[in-house]
Amino acid sequence: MPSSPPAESAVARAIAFGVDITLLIENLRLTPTERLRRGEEFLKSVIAFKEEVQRARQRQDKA
Amino acid sequence: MRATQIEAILIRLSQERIEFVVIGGVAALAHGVARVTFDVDLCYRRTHENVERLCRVLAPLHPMLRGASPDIPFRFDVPTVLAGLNFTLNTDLGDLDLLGEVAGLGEYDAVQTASETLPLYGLPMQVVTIEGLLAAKRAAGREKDQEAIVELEALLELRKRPPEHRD
Repeated sequence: MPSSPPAESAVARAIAFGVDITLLIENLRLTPTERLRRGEEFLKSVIAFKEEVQRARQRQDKA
Repeated sequence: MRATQIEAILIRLSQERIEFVVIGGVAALAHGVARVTFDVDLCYRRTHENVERLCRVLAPLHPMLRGASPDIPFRFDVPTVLAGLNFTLNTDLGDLDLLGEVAGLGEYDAVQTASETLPLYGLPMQVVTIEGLLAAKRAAGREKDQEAIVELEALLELRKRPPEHRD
């Protein structure tokens, strides 16, 4: 996390809002294509996780 | 639910010389925001030639109006696109929103002016700038965009800092 951003800065406002600034800093180290691919991979894993939760619920309902 | 194939859509449109600007969540992602998006939003140029190319490229992807009843006849062709403006589509490659006009920015020419060229998947593509995204979000005035606005403002500030001063 940035060390003590000035209170009036956009970064400070974002931190106060609950935005994880470390993720933004990490993303800025990547190329635009790498950012998109990372986002797509993350979304796929979220969808796979949701589907697994649904399957688990269905198994639970059947039991 | 499925993830839209961002790369496949953008490369296909770009290789066919469709005039478009990447906007919305994909643009924000390309600039570095830390949030995912379920669809691809593009602002397209509404000239007859461009719309014709767009329809030809998208036809094999079976574009349908998202959320509309399958009973409602829909044909994504030049007359339909020119008679409409903004289309929320479901395609074989996922959800694709085509906007002829973007709130806070305007039509294609204005959106293009508020864009920059970024190398995406090995091709130069027009992507709306962070400032452009902020203008669109502010114009939309939606409560749900507040966090995105704060995040984009922080990103803009971080980008202006030398890399060694971001941490």
